[in-house]
Amino acid sequence: MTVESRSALASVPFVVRGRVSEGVSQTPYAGAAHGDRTDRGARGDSALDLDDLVWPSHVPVPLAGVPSNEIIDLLGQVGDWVRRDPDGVLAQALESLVTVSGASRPLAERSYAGLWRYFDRDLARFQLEQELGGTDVMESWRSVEVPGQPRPSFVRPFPARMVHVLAGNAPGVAAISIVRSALVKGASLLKLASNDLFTAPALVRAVSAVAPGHPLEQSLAAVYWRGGDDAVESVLMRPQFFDKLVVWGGAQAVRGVARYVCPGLELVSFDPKTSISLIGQEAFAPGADLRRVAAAAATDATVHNQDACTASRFQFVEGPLEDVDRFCALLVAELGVERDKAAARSEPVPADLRDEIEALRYLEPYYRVWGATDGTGLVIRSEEPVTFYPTGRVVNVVAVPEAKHVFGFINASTQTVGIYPDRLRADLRDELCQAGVQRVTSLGHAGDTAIGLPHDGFYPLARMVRWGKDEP
Amino acid sequence: MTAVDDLLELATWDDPMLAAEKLDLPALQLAAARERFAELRPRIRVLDQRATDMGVPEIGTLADLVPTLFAHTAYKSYPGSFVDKGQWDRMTLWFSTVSATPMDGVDLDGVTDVDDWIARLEAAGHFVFSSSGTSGKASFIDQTQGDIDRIADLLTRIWGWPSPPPRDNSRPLFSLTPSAGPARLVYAFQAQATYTGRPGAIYTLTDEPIRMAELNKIMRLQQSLASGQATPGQVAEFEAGIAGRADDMRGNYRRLALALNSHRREPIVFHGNWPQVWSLLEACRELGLPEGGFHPDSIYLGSGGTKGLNLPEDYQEQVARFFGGARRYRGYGMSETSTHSPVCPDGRFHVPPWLTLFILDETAEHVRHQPSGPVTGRAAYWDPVWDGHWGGTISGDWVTADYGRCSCGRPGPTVADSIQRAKDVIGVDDDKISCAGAVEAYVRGAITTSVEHR
Repeated sequence: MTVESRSALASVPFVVRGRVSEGVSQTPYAGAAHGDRTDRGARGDSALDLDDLVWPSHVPVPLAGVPSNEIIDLLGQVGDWVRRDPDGVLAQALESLVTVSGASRPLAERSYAGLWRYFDRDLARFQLEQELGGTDVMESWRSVEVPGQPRPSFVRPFPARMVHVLAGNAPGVAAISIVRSALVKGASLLKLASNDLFTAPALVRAVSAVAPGHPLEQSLAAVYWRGGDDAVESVLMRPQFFDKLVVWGGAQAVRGVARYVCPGLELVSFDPKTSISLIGQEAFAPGADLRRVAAAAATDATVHNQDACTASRFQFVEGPLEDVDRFCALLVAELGVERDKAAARSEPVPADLRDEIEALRYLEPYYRVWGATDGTGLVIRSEEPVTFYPTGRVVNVVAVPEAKHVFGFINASTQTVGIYPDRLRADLRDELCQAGVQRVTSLGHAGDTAIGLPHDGFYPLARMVRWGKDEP
Repeated sequence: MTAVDDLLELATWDDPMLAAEKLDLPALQLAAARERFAELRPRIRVLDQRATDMGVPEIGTLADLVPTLFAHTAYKSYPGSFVDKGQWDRMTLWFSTVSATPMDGVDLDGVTDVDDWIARLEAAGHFVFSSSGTSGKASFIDQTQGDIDRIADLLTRIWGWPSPPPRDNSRPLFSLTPSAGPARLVYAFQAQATYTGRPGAIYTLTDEPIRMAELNKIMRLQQSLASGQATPGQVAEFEAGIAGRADDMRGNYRRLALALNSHRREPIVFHGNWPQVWSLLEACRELGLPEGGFHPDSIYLGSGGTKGLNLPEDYQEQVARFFGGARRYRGYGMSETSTHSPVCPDGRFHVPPWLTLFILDETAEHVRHQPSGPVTGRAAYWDPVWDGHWGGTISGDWVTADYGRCSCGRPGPTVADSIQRAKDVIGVDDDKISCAGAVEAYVRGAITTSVEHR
């Protein structure tokens, strides 16, 4: 069955089970072409073929019989290919990401240069061991002694059919999703985000290049439809076709997909998150290098140009106002520095936020503002967090009399807390994680997330399988 | 006479919308703008800063106003904690930056809540009007007594255009709004009560004033829920409270329904927001009151949005049947402008000649203009009426305007009846997914919706 989606046309490669359809995709960019049936007709098969995007439940998924070791080895080969990029597929995707999606070039270049690492064989084995309990877990029944039972039982995870609603703010999202899907031998429909239509198709093409016709190739589809498009989603997102809806926040993306959750169709959500920093009074001690602390704080604030859940937006700084203001002045200078995961400037602060920030300039001494709203970095110092969501390279430094005050501002959405110094992290990590925080890290390392450890409070691979059991 | 007075004089014409063809309207508007800018810049801190930042020493042409326009959000740019924590001195400091009159005489001693704060401002000559947008955060705009008088005069000259009801206190007046409170709808009611309504036949929804503190209570609960500090009991109590208030209102609607019935044969003036109009219609039906039969000089106006409410698709047709015999009046405006734009027989909204309409592009920085033909973009207004605050405002509306002659024969500019919210048209691409997000995403149910739909 094919449907006409509400989405308009432009040229983006879709890849469905190894078949690339170039230039007939539906994208959000061609606003002018929206609804232009003649154009659509001239281009031929522009609609999504939904039949092609599902893996029927009565047939085993393509990777069902493939040993994990083979998959791990294949991922390694894919990584090598991605690194070498012999056909320029990744280079082309990078170019499109920059020119069409408006990604920052140096930042996108650095992200792409590191994409191959996600496919590393050791990292793949590490994920299976950490998250499922071993590299052979996916293909063997594990014997379990149950108290009170005379005979052992057996458990084994089985592959699931998944829709992955990808986020487009970091190219690594596509790589991580493909590797996870492969490791659990799943079949995955990757729904592209409008702010990255290119990375996932390019990586899926890498699989085809390395192993044409391989079951891994047959397990992946990367297409776009407009998020929330009922014509597509209400048809596809059913337990008859998929077992798991894996969604990366955006609040709207999670809400949109959650509508389809029902018995047999489970939501695995990487929720929208906010990250913060906590800086202890040691930063102001004699001999401490406040500039280095500020640089580390700026590094955390600018992860993916502050368009990531790990990027710090609120920084709680312990100390008297004069000291905190000194920190702010150093921080605003560091925010404009180009870094591994940050360009030298971001998109300007959105207009609605600008007014609110500008108003704060008149409210000294209660508020103080450093920097500009032009995307080069801005710091607002206050006694409690601002009520808006800092974005566009904006950091709200909250002066607190003692570090523990941070607990009043932690909630279900708090992901990472970057902490200086390490002593403070050791002191507070129990309480922070008990309060809902998912990750503590040393200041300056918010962006260095490791794969294979818990993600947003759970082990993703364990949620991406169906567990079977044999109780004799 | 000042240039502003000259411009506002147009309101006394039989048909002010013909002004553009009888005199040099842009020149009049420019003179008023120069005058206002020179007067207000030294008095409004935010305007002075904006003019400095944007390099606008004076208004040479009407286009020079564009960089000085404030986003409608400028009037809610205060830190929410000032209100939550009752820091009224800080709140007043903020208000002074967007206001044109000094806060010197405002007595803040012992202010208990935001309504009290508004009352203290009023006692010192600052007539605040407030509105809450979808964010739930209220805006506060300062008006002088002169502003109140001017907008009352203008409103009653335009309301009902092209044949407004006489300003002789002869008409039974129905206004489905509280009779007091810091809201534009209330000021509109008070204007009509002053000029149009017949003493003894003036009806409002309630004499309970609008209380902004109620809204703040909702916001605070929402925040404490988001942060995990609200108890399930508080949530349940709040949701039950909403249901209870709805019950209390039923008696008021029945009283209004009977009054409406008793004035059916007289020329009445009726105004309400759609949800309230619908509730009144239901009360009339419950009482078995007949439809139609209204006096031909009666005028009714339903306004506002209906988002999230359970109205039938054809609610406007049903209301029209109920008001059979009466004329339906329509207008388009935003609460920041002094005067609304009334609809002509051809269904287009005519911008009153004292307002300057700008159509801006997506960035809200550049003007889109054509001498005639449709031009689409974000609506912004320069409004010379206000003395208490700066009258240049960028709205949240996305409109299609036409500066040429309207098919009804009058000169433009006119706005087509296709107004959308700008953020729905150009807004954030909701498919641009990023993993970053705030705790607001974790709040569900009546607490969010009741804020949005207020």
